[in-house]
Amino acid sequence: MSEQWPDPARTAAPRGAVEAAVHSVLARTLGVDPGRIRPEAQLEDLGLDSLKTIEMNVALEEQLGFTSPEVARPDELGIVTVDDLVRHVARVLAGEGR
Amino acid sequence: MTAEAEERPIVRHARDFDVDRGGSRLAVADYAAVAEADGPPVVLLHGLLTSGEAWRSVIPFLPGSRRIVVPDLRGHGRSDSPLHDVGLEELVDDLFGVLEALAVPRSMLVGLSLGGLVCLRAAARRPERVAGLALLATPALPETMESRRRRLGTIEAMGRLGRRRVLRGMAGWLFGVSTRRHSPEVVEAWLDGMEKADPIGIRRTAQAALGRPDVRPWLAHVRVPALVVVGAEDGLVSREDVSALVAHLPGATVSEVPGAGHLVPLERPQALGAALARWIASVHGAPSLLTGDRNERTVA
Repeated sequence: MSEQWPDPARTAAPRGAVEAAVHSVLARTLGVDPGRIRPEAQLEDLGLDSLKTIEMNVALEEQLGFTSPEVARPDELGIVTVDDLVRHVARVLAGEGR
Repeated sequence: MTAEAEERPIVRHARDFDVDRGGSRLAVADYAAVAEADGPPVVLLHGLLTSGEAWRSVIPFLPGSRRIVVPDLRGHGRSDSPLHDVGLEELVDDLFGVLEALAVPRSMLVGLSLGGLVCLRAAARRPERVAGLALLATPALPETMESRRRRLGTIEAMGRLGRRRVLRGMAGWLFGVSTRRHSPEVVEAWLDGMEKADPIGIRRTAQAALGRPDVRPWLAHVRVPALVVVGAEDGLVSREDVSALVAHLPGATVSEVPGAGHLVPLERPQALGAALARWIASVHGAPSLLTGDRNERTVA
């Protein structure tokens, strides 16, 4: 499925689309006000624990149509903030892995 | 006996038994000793989200002079699923029931995680039936309300979001980063093995672990040689858990397995097998009339 997604590294619009999708999944999974999902917000502060991480991954994969290339925890991938997560998902969708 | 000879894998085959426990079938694999027995049988008890299969690659590295008994917990492997939530005491009753059915009056108990809790409780309840206690990736501190809710929620998510996807997510905490990065086939094989798992049975059995009391008072009742094993990359059992076990188990040997997370037998079977073999030999390696000329292999 990832081939069908335009390369976010080279085009501005898809990055915005990825960001919107990630923000909406986060708000839904974590049950927080969308206004709190700011790029610099720390995921842990928003309530991301191990269970929410699993739920978030499933929701992101469903919404954006990809499969995570590896089994890794957010901290192992250097994902601390909302923006880190958006960048990571964009990279995965562009087929660059981590 | 040289160190090399001890490390050579031993191939042996199990006889599978079903033990009836109040209408529920508990499965157990029984590996006969392949050399003259020189001590009590060794019992290997898995934890949540695994089965007796978890020990498959460990067993070849255990002493051929020991019978090895490998039960499946309720709701896991070939054992029946429980019809209600299970408590730790019930799992201890299951363990003793299986050992009675197999005519094993006394044994060395090796347990992983929940299996470790069951073995610990068994050793505290019936010390006369336990010759040694090895606790692998076993927590000592009780769950908090929050961690209990989260862990139960994760197991329940299997039904809601799809078993394999949720288990794949859990693998991030169950397996060490070394295994996930360098041996992803181990994680995939575990996922394949869980295809037939019953999420409801697992949830009911999980209550025994999640609802456990503070186990530290039990440790004082353990009077047999103890071994504490923890994977260096365990994401579930903390250093505080290990410290608590060691502090309350006098004379316990501690072994940290490099490159392993929580599921040590799946991740580093050979290293674990070697550590267990050393411990088994150290417990019963002292010269005695029974072991004759094997006495020299006493391990420090």
